[in-house]
Amino acid sequence: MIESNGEQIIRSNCRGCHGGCGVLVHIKDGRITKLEGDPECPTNHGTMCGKGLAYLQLVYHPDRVTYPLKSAGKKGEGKWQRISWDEALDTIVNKYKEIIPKHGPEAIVIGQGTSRDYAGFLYRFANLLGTPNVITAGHMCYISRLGATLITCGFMPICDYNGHPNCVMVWGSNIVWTHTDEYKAENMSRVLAEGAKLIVIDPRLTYLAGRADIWLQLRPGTDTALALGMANVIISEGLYDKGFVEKYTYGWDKFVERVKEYPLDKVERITWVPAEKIRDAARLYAETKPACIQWGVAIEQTINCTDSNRILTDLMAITGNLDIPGGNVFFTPPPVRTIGEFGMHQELSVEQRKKQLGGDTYKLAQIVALVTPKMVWDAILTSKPYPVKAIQLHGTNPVITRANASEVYQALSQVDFLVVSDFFLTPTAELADIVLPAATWLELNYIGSYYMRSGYIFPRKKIVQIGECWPEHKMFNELGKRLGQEQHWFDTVEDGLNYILEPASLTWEQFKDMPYVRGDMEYRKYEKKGFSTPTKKVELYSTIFEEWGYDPLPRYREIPESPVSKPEVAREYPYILTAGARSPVFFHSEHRMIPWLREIHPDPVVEIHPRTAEKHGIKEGDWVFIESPRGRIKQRAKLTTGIDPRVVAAEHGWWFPEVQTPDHGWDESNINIITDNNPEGYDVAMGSTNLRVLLCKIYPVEE
Amino acid sequence: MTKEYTLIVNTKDCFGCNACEVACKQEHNLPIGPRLIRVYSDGPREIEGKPQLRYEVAHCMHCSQPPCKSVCPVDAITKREDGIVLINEELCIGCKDCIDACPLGVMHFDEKHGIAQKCDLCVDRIELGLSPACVNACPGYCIYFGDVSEVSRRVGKHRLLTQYKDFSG
Repeated sequence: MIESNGEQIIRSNCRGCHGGCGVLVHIKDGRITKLEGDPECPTNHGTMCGKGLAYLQLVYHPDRVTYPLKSAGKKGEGKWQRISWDEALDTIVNKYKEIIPKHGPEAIVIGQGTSRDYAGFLYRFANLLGTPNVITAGHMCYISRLGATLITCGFMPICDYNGHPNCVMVWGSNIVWTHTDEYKAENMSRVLAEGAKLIVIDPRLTYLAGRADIWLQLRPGTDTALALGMANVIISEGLYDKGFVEKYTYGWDKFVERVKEYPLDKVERITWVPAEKIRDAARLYAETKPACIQWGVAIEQTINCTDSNRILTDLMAITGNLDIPGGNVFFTPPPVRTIGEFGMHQELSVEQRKKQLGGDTYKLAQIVALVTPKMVWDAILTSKPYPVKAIQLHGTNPVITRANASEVYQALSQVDFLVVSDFFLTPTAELADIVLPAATWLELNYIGSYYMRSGYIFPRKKIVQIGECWPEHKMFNELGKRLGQEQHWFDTVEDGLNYILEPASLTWEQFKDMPYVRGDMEYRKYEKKGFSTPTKKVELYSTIFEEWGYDPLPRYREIPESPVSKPEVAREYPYILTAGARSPVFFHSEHRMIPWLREIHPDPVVEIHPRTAEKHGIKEGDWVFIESPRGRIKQRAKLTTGIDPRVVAAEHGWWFPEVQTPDHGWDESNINIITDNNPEGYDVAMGSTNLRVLLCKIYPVEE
Repeated sequence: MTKEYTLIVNTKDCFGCNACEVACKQEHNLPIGPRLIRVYSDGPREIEGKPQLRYEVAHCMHCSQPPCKSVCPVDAITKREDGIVLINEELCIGCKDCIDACPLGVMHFDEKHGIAQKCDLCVDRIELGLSPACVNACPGYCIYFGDVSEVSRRVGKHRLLTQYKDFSG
């Protein structure tokens, strides 16, 4: 704590997105006056993004939910009554105590969004409650990458920017705008400053695509085919690391056979990328050492989720770039209790685990303890395979962010009992029976970057108390105690933090004054221990998938709704929609109510090629209907030659907090009104929903 | 010798994240409306033989002979010895002549107080030995601040490589 001019400055750690940036919090007279980057933090060196810098406007926003509420009318009617925390918790607990004897704990679903860093507490609560049904964003974001890489090489390989990569292949990621987890925009500035070779795979011309040595503008959703084509070049031209392949990979011959099914002329037909460019990119990546792959979430939100992740991991492996300085590495974690251990997964009985919705079908999702959300909506609407009676959601707005939003809305409107904890009355919270006021990262003590694989943890400190807002950690702690889980919970959340920090011989009191704790990094750990897979090698051919009955080798599956797979649909809906283009000032469905951010990005934007726009009489700035076989929404046209004339790119996450009706315009511009959650389009192992690629038509909104 | 401060953006390295805008809003507690530094999308257009998407950043250049100063009927705008062009809020009558006169369109109007508004180079921060808020926040490290005599020379070498020891290795 530093003091100057009657102002205190406290060091903390942002969580405006997934967070991880060091922040200096200025306080005067008990009020936060300013947030700025901490120049001494090793992950951001004082830099910050707009979302973090505008956070004051979120903390002190007049529309924050600051005390518990119960619905005082019909669901979604917008009538609320203030209640005490005791009443809120007792209502929830009594309801659960009613449900469990009749329907079992599996009838209660616990959910989160991207997790505002409470996954460990959430899973501990769910597992002790006995429900195997947890929904998160993980089935198509990050956890799917984690699952796919765990079975392939035993860890999730992270781009080692500090190790000075000489080539970076940015695959479906706009890291300079929105990527977090282990990565910060600053990392990419470093790549550009040091002049490393840059390959960008993206259907849109982003800033990075423009700066790249090679930009591969692929047909949306065909990433796996493109990567298999690159592997084909690397193998047929002998550019792979023969020593590594021989010693540390499993299934090479079968892998080579599979890769041969993807000659460049075929890959060009699938991906639209000229064979010559694919060859150049493959050579540049394989021949420049060290090289790393910076992957983004786009590749996980299609039917090819697991195989996209697997083939990229395979590329890292066969070029010898795994766990070397400047390659893709496993950062040694700080020596604290893992989220998995804290989450008490071992407490969930085998019998209960077997009841996980969709568990038998999506085995990879089952081992990372996730349910693909449609299974929950179906269970509510059809009572099959058994009824879901209650949902408790934390920091998630699924009527905006999950595929087939209309079905989500219907399910959440019909479920017997819905609890939502959030900062604001989102369109999802408006459907709740009980709304709990959640604390932001400036209102709680926690461990920043705890779940990340960057090798760091940072203290995140409570600076202010807003109304009666509680950290979610405290909600789980107190609900757990009231549900007979006393022996597993803590007097205070900080006692829980002590338990997490214990293996590092630290207490929260000690840790909170430290800049960070970092694991001791060691490269090439596989030389001593092998890889943490059944064969101790990188499994190019997955023995786990073989056992589970999935294809052990990665392959490209055609996107279920594309001009190739559904030519008859494409006649009416001729354009490929790539959904989920990001803005640098919003985090998924958050931040639309923050004045400084909304001023920068007032409307949802759909990118259209000028030639395509002209065909439909669409001009720059026009409101445009984007229609799929499932419905239509409107966004504002931005004409750009940076997109293929056959492709349209729309934004996700839109609702309108300024719309005063309780639905807050949830279905006007929400891209998930037109996405599909038909299981035919799911990744076979992970159950990932296709949020990204579908067919659409566009036309101007007539005034 | 007194320093003459200036601020230069190397737009080649700007990736359009808008962090500078929000940092400025926060530092000056600005409402909706005035955007004293503002990022505009530039392109796609052909640069170095390939299509690129760049950004332009509009901000006060603290001109050596500021047109805003020349047209001000009440001499509310001054150019200080250290180069910073400032509006004296007490003197400003809100006639908006300076806003019309600025060739860059970076003068704004503060509706609440009825006066003109512009980038003050975070003069309060400079006096504490700090950089302007936008410079500090920028994850692209593309905003350069310092004395006129040397700052344009520094733009040639990426700020990231000179600013922190752990980046130079």
